[in-house]
Order: sequence, then C-alpha cells, then structure tokens
Amino acid sequence: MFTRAIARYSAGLVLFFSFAAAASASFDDGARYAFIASASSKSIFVIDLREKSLAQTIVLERSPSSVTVSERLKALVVGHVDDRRLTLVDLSSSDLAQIDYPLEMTPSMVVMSPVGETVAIFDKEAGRLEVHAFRRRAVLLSVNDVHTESEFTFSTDGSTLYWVDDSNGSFNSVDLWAERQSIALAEPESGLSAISRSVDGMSAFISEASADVVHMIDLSSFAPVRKIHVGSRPGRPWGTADGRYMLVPNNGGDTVTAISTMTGAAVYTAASVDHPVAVNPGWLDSTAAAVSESGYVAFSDVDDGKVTARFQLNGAPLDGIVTSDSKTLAIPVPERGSLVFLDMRQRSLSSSITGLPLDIGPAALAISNNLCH
Amino acid sequence: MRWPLILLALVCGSTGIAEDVVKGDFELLDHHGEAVTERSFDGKLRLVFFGFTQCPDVCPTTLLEVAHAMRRLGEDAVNVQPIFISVDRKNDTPEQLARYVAAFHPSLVGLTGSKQQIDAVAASFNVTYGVEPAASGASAPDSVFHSAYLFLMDRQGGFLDVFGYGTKADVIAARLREYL
Repeated sequence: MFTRAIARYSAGLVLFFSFAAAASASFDDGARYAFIASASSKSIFVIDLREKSLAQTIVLERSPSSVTVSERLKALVVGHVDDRRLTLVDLSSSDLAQIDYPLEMTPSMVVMSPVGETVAIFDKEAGRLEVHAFRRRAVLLSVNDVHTESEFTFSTDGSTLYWVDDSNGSFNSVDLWAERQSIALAEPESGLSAISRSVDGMSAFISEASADVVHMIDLSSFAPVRKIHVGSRPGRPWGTADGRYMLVPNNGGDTVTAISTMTGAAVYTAASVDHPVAVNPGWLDSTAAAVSESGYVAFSDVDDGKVTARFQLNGAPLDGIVTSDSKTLAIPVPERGSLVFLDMRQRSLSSSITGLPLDIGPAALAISNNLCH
Repeated sequence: MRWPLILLALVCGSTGIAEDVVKGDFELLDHHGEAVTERSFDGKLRLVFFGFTQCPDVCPTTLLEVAHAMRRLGEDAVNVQPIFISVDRKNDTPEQLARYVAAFHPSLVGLTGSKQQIDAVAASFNVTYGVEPAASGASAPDSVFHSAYLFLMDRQGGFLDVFGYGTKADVIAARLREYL
C-alpha cells in the first residue's frame, strides 16, 4: 500500500524536482537562508542571514511542526502536527511551489542526511523509522520498534542512523540494509543525551547526565572506548567545525568542558553561564558562545575556556545556528518572538528580528558551521 | 502585547576579537615544483582554500565558485590570485595538482609541501586537517578531512575576510571588488 501511495505521487515529485532544477534561483542558497516554523501562524519564516532580515513568509495549508532543508534538493521538508504527510517546498521556484508527500506514519521528527538527498522520518508514538529518498521516490529503510526521546544523527555518508534510548540506557544504530546494533551504555533513565558525531565520522560523544560523564564511542567497532568525567549534569556535546573539540554544556552547574576529539581527554572545565544548554563554536573555531536556559550568553576562547564577554537575551533561547563563514550566531527566542544575531568575531550582540510569533521553533539551515549536532 | 527585546550587555574584560587567528604565512611548492611563499604573490589579492584533489564534494564545489567569481571580475581578475593548498601530500604531487587546478581556472595555483610545511601553513591559517589511511588492501582512498573556509587575503598576504562553505560566486566577486 505504501509503495502505491508513493507511486501515486511520483509524477508530481518528478515535476517538482524537474522544476527545481530548471527554475531561477530564489531561496535556494543553502548558506544564506534559514527557515523557522510557526504552527500558530501556519507559516515558515525565511531569514536572510546575510542581511539579517526577514526575507519572506511562506504560508502553508497546515500547521508545521518541524522543518528541515536541503540545498541539493533545493527544497524545504515540512512536517505537520498529527498529520500523515509532509509538505515539500521548492525553494528555487519563484512561487515557492508546494506539494504534498503522503506518509503512512506521523512525522514527529524529520532529519536531513548530511548528503542532502535522504531524509529520516520518525513516528515517535508508533516507534517507526523510515528513510526516504525523494528524488528517487524510494523508501530506503523502514524499521519498527525504535524508541527515543532525542534526535537521530546520520553517519557522514548518510548510510547509518544513530540514536540513544534513555528508557533502557542504550546506544543504537541501523543502516540502510536494516542491520541494527545496540549496546548498553548506562542504567535506564540516566539522562543520556543525543549523539554528537565527530567531523571525521569516526567517533560519537554522548553525555550521561546522572553520572557527570561523556561516553566516547568508536563508530567503526561500535564500542565504547572512553568515559570522560566532565561537570555537573552534562548536556549534548557540540563539536567545533574544525573537529578538534567537543564542547559540553554542564547544565547542573555553570561550566563548560572541552574534550579533545583526538585523545578523548577533557582539556578544561571552565566557568561559563549558569545552567548552560548549548555551546556554539564560531569565528574560525576560536570562539565559543555558551547559552543558558534562562537566556544568558557567555563568549569564551575555545582553546582555554576563558570568558571575555557576557550578554542577556531576555528570554529562554532555542538552539542556535552558526553561519558557514563562522561569523554569525542566530538564536530564536520564542517568548519574545525574536531571532537574535550575535557577532562571533566581535563577541557582541549584532541585531535582532522581532515581531515573529511566540511559538517559533528552531532555525533550519542547509549549510551551517554547526550542522552536525 | 509583544515586548520589545531588551538586550543587556554585561561586558567584562576585553571584547576578545580574534584578529590574530589567521596569519597567512607559508613556504610551499607550487604545481610547477617551484618554491613559493606568501610574498611570491605580492601585489595581488589572494583567495586561499585548503583541500585535496580526491575530495568528492567540498573542494570541487568551492573551487568552481572561485572560478566563477574570477570570471565575473573580467579584466580585474588579473589582480586576484586563487590558491589551492593540498593537505594530502601523499597523493597530491605537483603533477597531480597541475592537472587538477587546470580543470578549474587558468590562474589557479596548486601548492603542496612536506608534512612540516603543510602543518605550518595549516597552523598559520588556523586550519585543521587530518588524514586517515585507508585499510591495508582497501581500494578506497585515504580519508581526509579539512577546514572548509575560503580565505581572502590582502596584497601582502594579510588576512582580510573569510567565506564559509557554500558561499556563491557573486558574493565572493562582490567582496573582491571592494578591495580591487
């Protein structure tokens, strides 16, 4: 039945991607435009990161719950609340053409592969995970009995998906041939974070909040190789774009730990902001911007953790995105309906876009300096 | 009522501007086998990119944008020197580099060197790279990763600006024109 459903819409998809290839450029510059969904306004806001302005509002028929973007497909992939379909938006067409992409599952999470050709779709309630190749109109993977509260991470070539299941303390993978692996990493409900993969794709780093450690996993052997002691209640590690460090926000305290990806050793644990939830690396991987759950930002030197400037966003932030030139960090602040821009080189606040709905989600960017988190 | 965003700055210490992150010095061999330094290109703006010739995506994509940017500059392109520095000294001989750079733009120069020289230029540009040798007997090439920044350097080789991966030719050309 699923194959028939895909076939029914294949003609539309062929037209969609043919048109995408031929049409003049619009918002298909993957390094320039970011996209933010708002369910209440049934809209996707297109942010011009070069001009730091709202470039366009894409109005949808249904409320979006998630959005991801591919420069290769020149398309937005939008998930909807409690709806068994996606909307694909052609970013290269002048009218931003939209088509429905029916599913036999509810897309509670949509994750673009690094290659930009395939998308992982997860139905959390049903425990079903699928990988779709839109251009080939193919379902590459369909597996059941997948359980997680956190995000999926692709391997660098897009052939394998990794995730943690905190309910049983396991680290898991499945490849496109449906081969699954699972290892017990911690006790159930230990506060395992989502996975951060190293830039070279060789290692994965997973925080365990209850034990104040980060697990380093060798992805080629799928085995834990090191347990690194960090600060209090560590959250998901954030990798520097140059691959040297994993920066760990220690959410139970006020510190950030830097882990060398080469040695797996903690290089420093340094004072930062209270209850940090994210650490965004930028400006040629020399600067880190730690963000707290209450909206404080601390800029520090990546190499030694020394804080040189602090700011307040006046609202709880979502995860930020760093532009591919490593100069700009953009952080959505939903309770203020704002997107705040920070200058990573000057280590200062730059500007903001205000007047957005109060339910904006995280920003999606096709080519980001911190894409692989 | 939507509250205006209040941005409260609590600056402590220096602003921490990392101006010295990129120095831009090098001593390398060009794709003709001639020794060159950053002074060899004095008088020209430089676009400097690190990579390797077997790179499947980031390097050719970026070098294509550089080539397009050069063509957009027209006659002014003679005042810009695009430079490709290979971090894969095992495979990227001067001969291999010569064949590779010629495929993109006639003025593109390919540079390589000893491990010490490549380490030194990578450090000078604050670039990271790594080479993971392929498994013994494997047909796949070595696995190489590297920073994907495109550096704009001034006429004496000093740092001016950096472009991120994915920056289009029109943006690169427009920035170059500001300095021409």
